Amino acid sequence: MVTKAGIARFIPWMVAIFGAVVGVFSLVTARHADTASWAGRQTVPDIVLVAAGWALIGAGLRLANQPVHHAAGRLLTVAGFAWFAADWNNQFTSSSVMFTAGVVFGTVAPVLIGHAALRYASPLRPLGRVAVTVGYAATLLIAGVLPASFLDPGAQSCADCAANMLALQSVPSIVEALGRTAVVIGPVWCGLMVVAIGRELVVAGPGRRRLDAPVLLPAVGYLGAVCATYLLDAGSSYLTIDASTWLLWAVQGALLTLMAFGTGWPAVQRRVARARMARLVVELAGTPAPGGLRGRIAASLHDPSFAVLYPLTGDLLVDAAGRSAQPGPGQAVTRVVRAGEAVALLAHRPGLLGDPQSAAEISAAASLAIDNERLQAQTRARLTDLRESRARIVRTGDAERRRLERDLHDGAQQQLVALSLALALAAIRNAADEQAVDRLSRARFEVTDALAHLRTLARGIYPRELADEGLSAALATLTEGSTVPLSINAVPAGRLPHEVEAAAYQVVSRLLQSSGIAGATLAVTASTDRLRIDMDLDLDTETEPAGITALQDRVGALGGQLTLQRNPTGVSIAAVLPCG
Amino acid sequence: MRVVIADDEILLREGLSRLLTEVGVTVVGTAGDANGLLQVVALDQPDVAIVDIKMPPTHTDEGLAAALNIRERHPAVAVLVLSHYLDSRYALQLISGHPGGAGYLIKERISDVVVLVDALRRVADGECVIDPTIVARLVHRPRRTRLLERLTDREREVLSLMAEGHSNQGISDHLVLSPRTVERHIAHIFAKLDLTDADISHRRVLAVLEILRSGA
Repeated sequence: MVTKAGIARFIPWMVAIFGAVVGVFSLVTARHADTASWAGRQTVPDIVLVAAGWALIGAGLRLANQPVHHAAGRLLTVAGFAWFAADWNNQFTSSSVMFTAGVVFGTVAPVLIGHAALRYASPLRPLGRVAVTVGYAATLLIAGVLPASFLDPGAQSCADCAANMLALQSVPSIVEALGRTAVVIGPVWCGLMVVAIGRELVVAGPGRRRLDAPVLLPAVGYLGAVCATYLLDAGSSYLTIDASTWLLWAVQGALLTLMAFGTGWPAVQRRVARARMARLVVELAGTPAPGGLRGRIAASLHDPSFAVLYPLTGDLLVDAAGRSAQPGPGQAVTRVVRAGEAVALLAHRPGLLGDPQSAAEISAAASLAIDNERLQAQTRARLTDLRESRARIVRTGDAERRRLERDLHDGAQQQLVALSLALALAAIRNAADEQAVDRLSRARFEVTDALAHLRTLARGIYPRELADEGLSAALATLTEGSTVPLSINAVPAGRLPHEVEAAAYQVVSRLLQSSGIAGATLAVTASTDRLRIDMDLDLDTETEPAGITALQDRVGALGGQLTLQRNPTGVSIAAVLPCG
Repeated sequence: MRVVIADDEILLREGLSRLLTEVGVTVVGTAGDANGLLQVVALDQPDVAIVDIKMPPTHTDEGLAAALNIRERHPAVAVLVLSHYLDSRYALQLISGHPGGAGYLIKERISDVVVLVDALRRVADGECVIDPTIVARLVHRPRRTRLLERLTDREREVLSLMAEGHSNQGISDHLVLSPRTVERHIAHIFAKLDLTDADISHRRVLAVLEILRSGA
């Protein structure tokens, strides 16, 4: 049984065969015609005639298959037939059907083309709607059906002409008046269409424009040529064929052929993109460095703004380096979806990845690289979070220690001093009682002892010069109280970020507490974005320096690194702290 | 002797004031911050201003700045700075301009009335006083240069006393030595440490402290 869908599948083929036949008929007719036909008897115009017609029909049928361009495709197909029909309105056309069609549809081709171009770009806007309506009215009614009703070539001078099947009555004056009107209106709808199509080109984004221009620009040129033809014939009742209008006709044919091929441009682009994708697959087989994927795709798609973004938990997006990122202003976003989940967002020029296929191709081509980069980006983002939180913890800890040190000074130490003063006063006031004086003095010594301990404790918690004067002062003071000799060869005099100073100080002071240490040499150097600590410890080769892991944590919390190297005289420590 | 006391802790101000009164020192005024101190000093012209190093508003070294200010504006008023800090930075800052008439003591030292009164008298006499604990730390700190190993034990004692700001007479009193012996020791020390003995005055305390602070 032949289903409706089955028939529908054959319709394009039937139309194509019909178009081929019509083209051949037109060619045969034109071979017989001379000055009354646009194509005439010459080879080049013949080629222009069939090339444009067939190209339009073919392109139309192809486009009609695509849901987006369905309407434009149908219009182009019809325009192809109308293009042929324009050449049939002469006395050499033997078939009455063809002649009648030539009379009715002879001038409608430009309107169909304009309509198709407008639909190709977008749904009809008001301006386009007006232009199309006026155009159809002028060509199908004023220059088509109406004059056809009053045109009887046989009744006039042309006895050889085929019969006009629509003729009711021969009224040459009406035909003349209608024709004149149609020629006068011609530039109006032509001009409106040029403006409407031009507007589509202007309002389209750069990506859209790149894809549409191969269709719209030839259409504009074609309609301009049609417009010019009407203007040259102003005052006449039909489009005459002379040297200049013929040249314009040839230009029209060439532009229509170009336009028909222009509809294939996106496919060519896709093919080129696919070829680039194929290369990408090969290139991406080796894992690109983070962010490399973006560069490769951007280069291969010729979109420098192209970005690959990876969704994190929540709505957060990150780039390959794990930094929070957003699509740029005016960028279109295409989601790369796998198993129902967006694995990446491609931010690109609008229209670059117009059809879902491109995104799928990128996804397929770069699947491994995307996965790899996505996982790395997510890890990096978490790492950044972690690092920031570590640095925050360290900073908070420092601030807390600093506060504690101050509290000890302003609170406990002051109170103990006050207590020792009270004890001294009591001793003086009880000078007569030797035993009491003795006891009070001993108590006072105890308090003084406690103060000494408290002082050491406070200094260990946070040395006050570190906060007030900086690393240089703190290290100089450290050498005064240290139990091992420390030679300081270099230390930057200026201030650095608090957490960096604190970490550097902690590294040095902690290492000085290594067991069995006989001495140390220190050099601290600062460049624009980092602080470097080089410390040589005189140490038994067997001994581990103190608290290396804790120090590595501390330095690592600020994004720095601490490394240890053994040498014949002990251990060399190198720590680098970023301070940008 | 007339003194003023500046400390932001009222308990300490009052305690110290009573203690000093008890041993015959006249406390002519007290202040809780640097501005108050400068006013009291300008008004009462005491012999000595006892200044806590930490005072409002930042509680870092406002007291030190006030003490230096007093030395500038009122040369006749000596200053004794009290501090919880053992390191020599603040001490050196205090005396580096005008070593005479300035002293730097660890805070708990004030409960030792004998030491405190001795220090007050010495700064009032235009001498310099550095807390013995600070000097001892500097003298005994580990060094690679073996700087002080060239000195005899006795010479090290003399060096420490010089660093504490004592005059030759003070040193000979302390060590129960004749002034001439002390002078001989000092000449040896200066020769061994490559110091020029140009300043026998209280300025030598700076030279000695610099030597002790430098060269780990």
